[in-house]
Parts: sequence; structure tokens; C-alpha cells
Amino acid sequence: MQKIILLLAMVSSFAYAYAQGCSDAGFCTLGSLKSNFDFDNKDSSIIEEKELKNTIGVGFSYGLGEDFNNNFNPFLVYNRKLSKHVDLNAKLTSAFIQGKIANVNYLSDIYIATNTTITIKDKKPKLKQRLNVIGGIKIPFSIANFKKNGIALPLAYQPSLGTFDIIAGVNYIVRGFEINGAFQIPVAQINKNSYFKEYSTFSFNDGKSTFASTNLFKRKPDFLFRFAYIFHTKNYKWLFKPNLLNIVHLGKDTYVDIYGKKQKIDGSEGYTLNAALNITYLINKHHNLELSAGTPLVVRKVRPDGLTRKVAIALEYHFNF
Amino acid sequence: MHSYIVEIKRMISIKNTLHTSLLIFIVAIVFASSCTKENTPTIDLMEKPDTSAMIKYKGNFQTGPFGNNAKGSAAIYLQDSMLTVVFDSLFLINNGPALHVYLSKEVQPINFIDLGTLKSTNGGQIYNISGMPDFMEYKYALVHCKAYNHLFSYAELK
Repeated sequence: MQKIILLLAMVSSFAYAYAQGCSDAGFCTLGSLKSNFDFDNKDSSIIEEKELKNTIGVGFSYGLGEDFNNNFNPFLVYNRKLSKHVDLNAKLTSAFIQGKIANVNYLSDIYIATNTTITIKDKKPKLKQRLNVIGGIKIPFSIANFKKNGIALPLAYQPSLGTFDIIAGVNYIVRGFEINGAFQIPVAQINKNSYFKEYSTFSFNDGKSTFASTNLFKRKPDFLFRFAYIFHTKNYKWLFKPNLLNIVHLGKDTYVDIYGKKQKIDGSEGYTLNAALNITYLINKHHNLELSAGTPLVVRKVRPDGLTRKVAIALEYHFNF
Repeated sequence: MHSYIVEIKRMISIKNTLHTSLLIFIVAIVFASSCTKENTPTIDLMEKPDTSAMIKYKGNFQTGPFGNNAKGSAAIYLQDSMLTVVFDSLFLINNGPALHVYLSKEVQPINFIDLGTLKSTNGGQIYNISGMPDFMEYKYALVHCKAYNHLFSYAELK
């Protein structure tokens, strides 16, 4: 119980830390890239849960942006067990962005993925190995060019980055340790953002900071690498997953400047390290709750995508049937 | 190793699943693509230059190859060392996707300064200019469809 209190305290403290989200809201919490809830669970009632083929979920994340804009991101989740080893995951995300510059409400992206579980038989059963292979796509609902009074808004105020992405990754679990590796690769970009900082009066941090120009923004791929350790209470009601989430942005993003020339955004490439914690509470075999929070330890120098958060926390409810 | 091979074989047998996923993908792309067209607002913003601003150059809009009945004028104003392009209250152009305002050295833009998206197809509006371009070179104000490189309207600044 003391451990639980300690971990809840950690979550609370994360809520006031300076957090940077995933490369996209949704990517880091999709399918097997998130908590593997039922792993290592020997409770017979939980084993029965595996036979429930459908899961619907609803949740929201909250993030406080760089200029103290409020980002509410409600989402819907549907998972369907297609066979013993294959799941279909779908996640619909949306954004309600409220800030000093503008208020924007719209659908963000939809993620569709398949998750294939490969059971590894080894000579040491205690290893309890499992391998998941995930493949999916992300489809945007907008071209990232919402405006106010005819003037384009920066990406921090856009519900989507306007990229069609392929997501491919693996998730390996052994003795409660979990390792994720995944790529998110933009394969088609419909981003028509036309924000130029040269003509903008938008600023934050008491006028000291401006949003980067993102006219016709093109995004580079991300590589995600996560280490986690999963543990639970004796009655399997609570599951905790502290984890270190590494994201490498594989190249410099680009935009088209006021002279029509493509420019690389220096500092937009590089490494982000986040410390995060997921807590899942199993109400019963049909219902569970999940709370997530994280904070960065290392950030990229420039983050033109507008995903930076001072506060990041998410709550999700699942119904299995 | 054997288990991996068995698993791969089993994955092949789930081609129906993949077909379903592919179908969802295609439908979703069609749906999302329908969201990509972007039209310019039509509301009259009624923006006007400050009375203390000095007019430096001016020209009337002409209809470009992809425009329709372009009307109004564009003028360069100077105020407090800041240059702006002002479209007068009579400005009117037909709508189109991703219309931008350019200062250009040529009627068909090759060397240009992008002033951002056209705020409205109708009425007075003001665009800030970054720096101090030479208007002997940048002598055209354009309304240009960026997505398809289509010229809608141009005004020669004199």
C-alpha cells in the first residue's frame, strides 16, 4: 500500500512538471506500445478476460501548452480480437485547444493497427517471454491550417499535423520487463499550414518566445524506444508500469519560407527522453481504468510541431465484452 | 526458431484480416482526402490603414488566367518604418484553394515574397511586409493559388 501511495504521489508531481508529448498524441499509447495489462497474471478470473473479444474505451488527456494553452484531447478506442493471436486496434483522437490566441476544436487523427502476438516457447518457462508485432497507420482529419481572422495559426493550435503515417514496431516482454521499439514514418503529408512568424504578433513567455514558422511543414520520422518494468499488487487489481520513453526524431523538419524556399529547421532533430508512469486499476473483468503521466528529462532544442506540454496527464476507461 | 516459422505461417493464413485492414485504410484515405480542400473566407474584414500611414505605391488588380472579375486595388503603405500591403474596400476575387498574397518580381511568380494566406476574397485587408524589399524589383502584388501554381489576380505597383 505504501508503494501505491508513493506512486500516486509521483503521478501528482509529474502533473506539475514540464512534459513533452509523444511524436503524436496516440502513437505512444497504441496497441502493444502501451501497457500489456494481462501479462504475467495468473489469476483465473483474469485468464477468462482474454476470451472477451471486444474492448471499447473512452478517455482524455490534458496538456498545458507552451503559451499556457489548454489542450483537452478526448479519444475513443476500439479493440477487437480477430483470432487467438491477432488484435485490431482503432483509436479516434480529437482536440479542444483553448488559448490566448484562439480556440480550436476538431477531430485530430485516427489510428488503425493490427497487433500480432507471437508466443515464444523456450526451455526456461520462468522467462515468460512474449513478442508483439504491431503495424498500423495514422490518418489525419485536417490539413493543419486552422486560422483566426484569415491568419494561419501555429501548429500548437492545430488539432493534427496533417500527416499520413505508417507505424511499425515490436514489443518484447520477459519476466515483467518490457521493451518497445517502433517507427512512425510520415508517408504522405497534406500539411498546408501557412503560419509565418515574420507576420505574426503571436508570442508567449511574456513576448520572449515566438512560434516557429511552419508554412508547408514537412515532418521527419520518429523512432520510439521504451524500457518498462511491470509489477502489480497481489490481488492483481493494480498494475504499475514505470517506464523510460526514448524518442529520436530522425532528421530536421522543414518549412517553406516567405521566399518560397524550403528551409530545414535547425534543432528540430534529435533525442527526447521521458520518464513516465502508467497505473491500471482492474475494477473487474469487464471494466478497468488507466492513469498515465510523464515528464521529459531530455528535450529537443526546437519543437515546431507544437506538441510540447508543461503538464501532461491522461485518464482512460475500458469496457471489455 | 521452429515456433517463429509456425507463427509466420499462421500469419499468412490471416490474409483476410489484412484485406479488411487494407479496405479500412482505403476508405479512410478517401475520407481524409475529402478534408484537404481549403477555401478562403469571404467575410469582409473591413481593415483600413491608419490615417497617418503614407502611401508609396499603388496598382489596380487585373484578372489573372485563373481569376474571375478581379476588382479593387493594392497599395504599399509606410508607417513607423513598417511596410504593409493594403487591399482596398472594393477588393473582390473568386475563391480557390490555398490562395496566398505575394509580392513578386514577375507577374507569374518565380521570385517572390509570400505574405501569407489571403484573409478574405472580399473587402479591405492589410498584410505586413517583412523587411524593406526593393519595389523597383518587387513591383507586383499577386493573389496566387499556391496549391496548383495558378495566378488569380495581379496589380502592378507604381
